[in-house]
Amino acid sequence: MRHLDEATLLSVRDGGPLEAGVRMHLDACATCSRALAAAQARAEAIALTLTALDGPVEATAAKAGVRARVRAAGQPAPRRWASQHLGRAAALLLVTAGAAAALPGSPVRSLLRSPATEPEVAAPAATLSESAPQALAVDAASSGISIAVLDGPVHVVVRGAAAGSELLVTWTDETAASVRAASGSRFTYAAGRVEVDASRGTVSLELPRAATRVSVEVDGRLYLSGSPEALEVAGPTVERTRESIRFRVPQG
Amino acid sequence: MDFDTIFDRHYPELARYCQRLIGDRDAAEDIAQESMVRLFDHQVTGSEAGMRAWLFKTATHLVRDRYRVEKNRVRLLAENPVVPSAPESPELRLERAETRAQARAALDTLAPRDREILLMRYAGFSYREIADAIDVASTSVGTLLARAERRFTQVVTEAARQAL
Repeated sequence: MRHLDEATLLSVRDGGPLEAGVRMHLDACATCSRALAAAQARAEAIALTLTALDGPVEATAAKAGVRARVRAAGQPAPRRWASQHLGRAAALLLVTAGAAAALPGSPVRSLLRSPATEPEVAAPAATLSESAPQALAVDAASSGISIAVLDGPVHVVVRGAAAGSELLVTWTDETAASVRAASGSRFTYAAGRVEVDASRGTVSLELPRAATRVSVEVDGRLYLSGSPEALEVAGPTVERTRESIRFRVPQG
Repeated sequence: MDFDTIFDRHYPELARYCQRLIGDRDAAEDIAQESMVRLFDHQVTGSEAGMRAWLFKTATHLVRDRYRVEKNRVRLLAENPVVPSAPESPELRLERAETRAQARAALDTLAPRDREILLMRYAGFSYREIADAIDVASTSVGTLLARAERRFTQVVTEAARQAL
């Protein structure tokens, strides 16, 4: 007698279509009946074991965040960027004055946990002006913005950088791109893109290594571009390591 | 169905599925939320079962995209153990931590596709729904699932035996 294969037994166990021949075989074959019972017991054991991986789910804040994002997506954007950015970057979102303080943890999650940020999320473009993250090596009173980057490119545009000021680019394993600048700087964002008007102080960027492509433009000049593994650095560097690149904005 | 109904019914299990899949609570919730946003952004319609399958499929693909670099996934797993939700006795906590570690280790030995199939099956999806989400032939799901279950059980059993 030819016994049922394991895939067939599992299909029967899992409620798949039961052919007459299979049913008859199971009725007649003690070996396959035992194998089916063993598969059922194994399923129960696996299901129980997997529950050990289940942590708490914070649904309330998540719901507010998702609702805000859905609403925001339904509103016309006051400015539009190249469609390839909007299409490719699976990201988006960011946020408000408190976002920088949440770094370097997941900025999206931190944001969504803060009910106070919900109304601001509805704005397709954000203007930020506060927050002073302790860990930053930039001005004491800095502000910041961060966008989640699930995949796709990241493009950062810096405008109004003062001559002699510095731009610090740091690579991160986080799935977010962050930009911080002196308090009073203005930030706007869209999927895969952040723009900052920073008239003074150091501008600090954290760019995800996982990004498919990054580019940083300062007052119309491309400072760096490419993938994190194959980077073209064209800006005026003053220091470069594996972890970061420091630029100094030249005169004129 | 309205936003609240869909969210309330499906977000928690979607987030747990993502937790099981990637072992990082924060990232799991990010991906679950992103999947929910896309469901509404794309104005997905149809049966509730169909929307549920769409959500899990989207989350699975987001996880693939996000964790396509294996070392990054391993790092996140190491840095972000899942925290139990309720207070537990020290003994129970220890036992649960052991079980969790064994389950995590067992999942990590599976190929990504096998892991997805196993977890989708234990989230209650049919073979046809799994095939659609994972991009395999529905006739292959049983074979792949059998292999995944065997491997998972083998590793967990061996780890439990060593713990004794």
